[in-house]
Amino acid sequence: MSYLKLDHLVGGYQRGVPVLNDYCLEVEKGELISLLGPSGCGKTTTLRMISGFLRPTSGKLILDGKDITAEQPNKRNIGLVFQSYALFPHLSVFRNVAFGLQMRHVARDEIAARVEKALAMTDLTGLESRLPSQLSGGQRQRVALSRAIVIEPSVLLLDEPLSNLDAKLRLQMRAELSRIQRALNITMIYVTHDQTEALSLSDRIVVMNRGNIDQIGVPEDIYQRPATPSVARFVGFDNQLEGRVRSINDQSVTVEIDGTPIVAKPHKLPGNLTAGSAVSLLFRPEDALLADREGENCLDASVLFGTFQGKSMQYLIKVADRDVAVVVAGPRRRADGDSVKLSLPAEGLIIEKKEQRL
Amino acid sequence: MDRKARVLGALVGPSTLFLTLFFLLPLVFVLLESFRTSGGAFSISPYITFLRSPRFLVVYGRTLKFGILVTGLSALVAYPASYALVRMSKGRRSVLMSIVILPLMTSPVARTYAWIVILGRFGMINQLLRGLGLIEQPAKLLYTQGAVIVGLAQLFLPLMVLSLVSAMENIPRDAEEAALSLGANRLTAFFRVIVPLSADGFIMGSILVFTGSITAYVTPAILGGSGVLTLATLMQQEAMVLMNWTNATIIAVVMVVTTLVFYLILRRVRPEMA
Amino acid sequence: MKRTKFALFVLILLYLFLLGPFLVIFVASFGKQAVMTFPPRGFSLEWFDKVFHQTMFLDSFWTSLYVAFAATASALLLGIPAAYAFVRHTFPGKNLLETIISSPVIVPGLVVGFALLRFFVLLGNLPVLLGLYLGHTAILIPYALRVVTASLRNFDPDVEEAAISLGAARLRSFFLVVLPNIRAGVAAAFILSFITSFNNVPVSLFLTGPGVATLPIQMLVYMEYYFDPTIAALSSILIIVTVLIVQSAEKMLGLSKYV
Repeated sequence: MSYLKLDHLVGGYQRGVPVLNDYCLEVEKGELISLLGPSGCGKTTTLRMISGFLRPTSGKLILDGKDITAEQPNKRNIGLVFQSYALFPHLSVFRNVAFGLQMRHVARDEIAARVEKALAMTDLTGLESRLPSQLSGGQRQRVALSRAIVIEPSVLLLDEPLSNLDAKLRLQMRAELSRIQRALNITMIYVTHDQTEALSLSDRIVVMNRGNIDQIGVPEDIYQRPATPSVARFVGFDNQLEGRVRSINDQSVTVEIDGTPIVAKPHKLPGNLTAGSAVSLLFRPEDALLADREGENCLDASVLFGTFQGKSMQYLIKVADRDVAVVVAGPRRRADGDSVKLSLPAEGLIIEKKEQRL
Repeated sequence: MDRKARVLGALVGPSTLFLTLFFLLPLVFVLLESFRTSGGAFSISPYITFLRSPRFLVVYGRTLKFGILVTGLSALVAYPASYALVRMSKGRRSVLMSIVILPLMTSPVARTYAWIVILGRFGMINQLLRGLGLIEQPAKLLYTQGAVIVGLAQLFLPLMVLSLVSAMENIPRDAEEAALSLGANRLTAFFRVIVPLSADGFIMGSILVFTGSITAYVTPAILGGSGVLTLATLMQQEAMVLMNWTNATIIAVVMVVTTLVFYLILRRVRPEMA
Repeated sequence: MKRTKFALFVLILLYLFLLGPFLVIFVASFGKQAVMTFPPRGFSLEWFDKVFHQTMFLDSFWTSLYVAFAATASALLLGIPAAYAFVRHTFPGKNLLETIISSPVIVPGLVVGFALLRFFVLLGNLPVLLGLYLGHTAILIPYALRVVTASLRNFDPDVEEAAISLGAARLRSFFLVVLPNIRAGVAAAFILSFITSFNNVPVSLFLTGPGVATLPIQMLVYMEYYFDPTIAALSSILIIVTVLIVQSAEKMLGLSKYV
């Protein structure tokens, strides 16, 4: 029996159309699950339904066996961490964190003890009497976190909590969040559009797109074996070449690009693919190679532009009438204008069937 | 959702109800009553009779004239003044701004009374002119059109300044500097860059000053007397002195319609401001 | 720069024009003569004495004070929830309601007072004082609405949701979290409304009766019959009090932002 169950939720209307349509998700206790997707994919809508600020028009929300669909947001014991932190500007750090406990009529001395414990956990001891305006961005973020965990919520919901921090702080806080989640064994649902964040934090990732779940899986699965082209694009399959299917057998598909046969061995084939279908081949800049001699899966190309990235070079290549990026470790070895062969990895290719254009 | 409807009703209901009962209702009633002739029948003849009377037309024309003059004067003075204010440092500007709003907060009776002291027969200006030997008898400065215009200008200038300053504050400093770097002199930059970009503030300020001027009561009452009547003082006369409620209502309608027309023009020209 | 010098010159003239009259009143209120002369001859405080001892001024002062307090409090009580609804929610008819609640701004004060007089006082036999209260409240509601709306707009709605998620019911969250943070706006609305009501002439003009008159109206009546500096003295007092209130409000709240 899963701890949190979203059962066929429909709702979040925008211009008459529901953002979530028949949305189902099951979360285990103590799991850190990320909702990953581009803006508008419905991840915040999902969060708001769980917290109770948005009512689904149909469907059920079950937490720890109890149906909470009709429950008021202030009665759900769900912790919220907002992107803007939403601290109470007129209250000190202590009173901000104590707020939830006061609402629950916890005794004075117990409040003090629990608040101190929460502040210690987020490394904020000593700042109790400060006002939010006197804190740095990182400190405010941690107060928001303390405030949400001190009430010992059944579920902790975080809406892009780190996006307002600078890069270095973000990395630090990511590690902190992970540590705290494990220490308290809190069930956490984390919304983000940053794939690196999702990949590094989550036990499982839910990749969403336009209100639908494209894929649920552990980070390695999402990264290595994206289930759909849209998930693939999200985890770094930035390059795209067009071609036509020449032949299919049970292990591979041969696609003709620019007259050259390219063998692809994807972990998943799109449905009803036949010889002659128009397809796109997706691959990562890091997975392709630049060669000088003819070989397997090679296409003629020329270097347009090379950008120095420190440990690697990023080359913009023109191939089959398209521009494609290739990342190669090491110093600059190719000059602008050089002819080169682009070598595509058979297993690193995703096949996307092109829609029939009318 | 029913609950949301109930909550909204509780939030907005009281004020809407209050204003509908104690504001809109009396207005509508009074408006309807104005269409009654002395016989009790409904007709628009009271309107036609009064609106065509020279008594009304002279006053209406004068009131509009005052409105335009006061607005023009305010703009003329407020533009350079606002420009200077905006060029000042933040600290100084906020001190000066808080002084500008002061006249708006003080009693209009007190403010207008000052002009009696200044323009009266034994007032400041007359004493000065006599002292300098320029005139023998005290000049009649009070109860003239000029007095009313000056009084109204003092009342409404701060409004124009406030509108213009807030509009000018939004003009990036660089815009003017860009113009100068391209060869314009200060005056050209002012007219080509500052004036167009502060147009919204000017329009808003003008509407406020104009509608305020044509509906003002205290200033024309004190400084104009019964010799220089405006719509507002005419209305008071009709209602309280002549006991002609119908005419008073007609004047009220004219005031509201005139004000409304200008608001609607504003809406057309700058919909986001209305 | 020539342009800025000229602008500065006009600015100085502006301030002289705006503030000069106040100075004139101050000086005039200390004169000895019974007719308004300037510059005044002699020094006397008799006009100030008159102000504090004339029943008509004292009575009308209290009337103005009561009406201003009652009307301001009512306008805030009616306006704050409405402002909240408008800022936080969308609903059908919102624009219409907003127009209705802001409509007193468009109607000239004279017309408001006149309509109330005819409808409630003369027809409905309502006491004049009540009519005054109703009229003042009506014209103050848009002020309260506008100022509180500005304050609420600056307040992050997520903070309210945070309070609710932590267990506070909607109403409680409003008092615990929203109100403390829009305190400055509400205070500014109070001061602005109070001053507007106290100084108001147009609405009060028609709503005057036996024993019921606001201070500004009383001053106007006095001016019709007497020409002595009493009004100058009273004006001076009023101006000083206003300046003190506005300056301290400015210091504490930054009042000029809300005007």
